[in-house]
Amino acid sequence: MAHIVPSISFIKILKRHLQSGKSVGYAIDQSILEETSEFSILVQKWKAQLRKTSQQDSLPVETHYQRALFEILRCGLDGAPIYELLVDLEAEMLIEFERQWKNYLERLPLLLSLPLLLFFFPAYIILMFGPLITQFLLEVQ
Amino acid sequence: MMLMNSLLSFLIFVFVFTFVNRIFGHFKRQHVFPLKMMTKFGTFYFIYLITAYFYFFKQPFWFWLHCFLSLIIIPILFFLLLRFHQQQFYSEFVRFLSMVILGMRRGLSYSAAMEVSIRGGDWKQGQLLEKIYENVVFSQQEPVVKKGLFGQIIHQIHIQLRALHEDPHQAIDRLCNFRKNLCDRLSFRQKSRQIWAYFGFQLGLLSFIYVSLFGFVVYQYGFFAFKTSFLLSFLFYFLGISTVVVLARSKKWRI
Repeated sequence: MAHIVPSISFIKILKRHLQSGKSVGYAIDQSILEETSEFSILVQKWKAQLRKTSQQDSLPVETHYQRALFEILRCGLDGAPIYELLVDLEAEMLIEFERQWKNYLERLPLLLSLPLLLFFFPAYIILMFGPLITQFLLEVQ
Repeated sequence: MMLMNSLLSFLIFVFVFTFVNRIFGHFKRQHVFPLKMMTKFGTFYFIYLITAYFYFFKQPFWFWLHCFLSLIIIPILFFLLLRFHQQQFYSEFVRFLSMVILGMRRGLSYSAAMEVSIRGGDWKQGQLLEKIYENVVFSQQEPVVKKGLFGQIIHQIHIQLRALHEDPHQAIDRLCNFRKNLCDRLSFRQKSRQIWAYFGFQLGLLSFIYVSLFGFVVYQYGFFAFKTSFLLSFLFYFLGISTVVVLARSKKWRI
């Protein structure tokens, strides 16, 4: 489990480069270099694909947020100002993260009870009653 | 025999003191503990060893045991202290950035604001902040902290502050953005740790119960007569541990 969501981390790095006056293309390249995660590989693929085809349907995205980010980046590469859009998208992503985190925290006790029931509980039972049952069987024989 | 033992004790004393001194030196280079504190630790440890040497002069085994235990306990203790201080640094650095931003809003230049903040603030990590400041302002190439994740983070902080020093375009806004990013990272870390705590607590508690129960059962019935049951039980326990670890590591936020 990563400490920070890779796509959010990518936007943060991108914003930093844009704020220091760098071009969108340069900022994307630098962000790919700095953010060493699966998401930056996805951006790299997207950028390579962008050179070959202009169709948006072939974007290798996992979520709506990533699709929105790629669309914003595409606008940026076409020359549109994107800093404010990135700020808004980041805020949306943070809200979504908060929602997912709360959901996961609610589901966690249930999730953790599965290994408890399937593995730990039998392990305790075998440990406690295994020798007793073995002894009993030996005595019966 | 007595002479041999005391000579051996003395050699162990010299070896252990040199080794622990090197450990102190390593932690000193992390710029996390104040220099005075490290000197005090060194002096205290020397007095402690001398006292133990003379106190257990006729029972060298106990002196050797003291030396051996201190060789294990001191590095672990300092490592834990280092981790605690490094964790503390993030929130302290956010406070430092706030003071620099405040100074710049008052009309000070970037480097002057940093200097005033370091001199004026009551910092627990003052030495580290001062070292970062020196590296930024005097463009030194030597890394502040050389190894590990903490070293990488300090290096990133150094690059950020250096970029601001060399190109002060929209410096306050960029500093505010940097501070917000750090706060967000801290918040993410806190949330991630909360989830890890759930997993860790479950694993710790279940393992403690399992080990205690295992000890009790082996004490009552013996081990070799029922080794098949124990092996089967351990297999289930191991599968449980693996499942919890896989569950914890496989979580990905779909954003």
